[in-house]
Amino acid sequence: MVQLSLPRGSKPTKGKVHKAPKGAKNVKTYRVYRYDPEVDADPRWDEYQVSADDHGPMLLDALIHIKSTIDPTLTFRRSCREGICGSCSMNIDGRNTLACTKGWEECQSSTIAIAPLPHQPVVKDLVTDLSLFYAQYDSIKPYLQSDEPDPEKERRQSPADREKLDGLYECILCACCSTSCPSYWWNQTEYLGPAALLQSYRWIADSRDDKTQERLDDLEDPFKLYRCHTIMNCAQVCPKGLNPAKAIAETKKLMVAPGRRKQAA
Amino acid sequence: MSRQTKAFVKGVKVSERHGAGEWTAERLSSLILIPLALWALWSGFSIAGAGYEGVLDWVSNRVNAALLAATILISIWHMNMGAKVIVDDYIHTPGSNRALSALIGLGCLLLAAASVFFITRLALGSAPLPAGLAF
Repeated sequence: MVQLSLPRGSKPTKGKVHKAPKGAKNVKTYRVYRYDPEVDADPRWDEYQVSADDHGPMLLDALIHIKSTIDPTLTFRRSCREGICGSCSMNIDGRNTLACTKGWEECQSSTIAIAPLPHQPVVKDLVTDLSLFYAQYDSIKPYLQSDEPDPEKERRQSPADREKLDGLYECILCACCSTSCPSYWWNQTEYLGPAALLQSYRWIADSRDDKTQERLDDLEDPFKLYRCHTIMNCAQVCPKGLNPAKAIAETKKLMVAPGRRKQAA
Repeated sequence: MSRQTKAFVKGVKVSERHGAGEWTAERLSSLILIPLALWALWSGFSIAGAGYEGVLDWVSNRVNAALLAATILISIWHMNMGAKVIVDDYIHTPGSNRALSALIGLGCLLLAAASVFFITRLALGSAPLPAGLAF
């Protein structure tokens, strides 16, 4: 049965409050999820009051400032700080996004809640275990499979065919879409999720790839593909502005297209 | 297929190689139900106030009876498929999933059989229930 409430012992409690120094101006409050499964019985919400004048414009700047000057135990992933590596994906102000491209001024609430990506095992604080997410990506064979022998130079593609990959190749695998999808929350052990399905369609749509039918065979399953109920959270949260739901819909259309050659299992 | 009998490689499910047929059936039944539902609505309004005899007269028309049976049967078919999706979404224990799906399937089957039985009897001009069973 699906779990509609948090398991015993995992409901966040009220944590420490780190007050801003007296006289600080332009103070923002960040409510950050803290949990170390090896030490803590329960997760907690720690509050950090920070002067926005002391750090840059993005949420990641605020987190780095908190870690550097207030609490070095705060743990989060980050790398490129420009929305291309996908490391700092987290739930900010109730919505999955990248901390490095989300400005604190964009947040609606005066107290900005920062939590790990939903429905993933927490390694520590804002770091989640994405092993299954990566295994799902690996399973869709995210590389070119051609029946043609390797050419001397590049494999050529017409500008029109290349255009078909726009809106697909830009995915940075931040997992914001998959972890915002209720269908993925309930069935992630069997449903591939929007990110892996968008990546799969990226290769299905590639004119240079010759394994389209095999790729479709691998996806044709009531759970792997068809758990997508077009809820569209994936398209709403994608920090790169992509539309995984559309890629999934295109895959479903190809499943029943006239040229489909289904192979026995 | 239950969670235990499904195959997994490196934690990722191996394709069961079906699903497109079910997906097509869901959409096909929805499409057919659009004109049928409009017809049912229109018929409902047109026989409103016709009284018991008027309604019996309406069902005794073979075209009306056939369309009524089609509307109800396709609705039940569509409902059964939808309910199966909801059960698969939320009920993960294999035994409970199978039991609930079977129960819903049985309910739909009984509903379909009863609908066809009564529509046929009314269309042939008989009383809804055979003699002796009537209240």
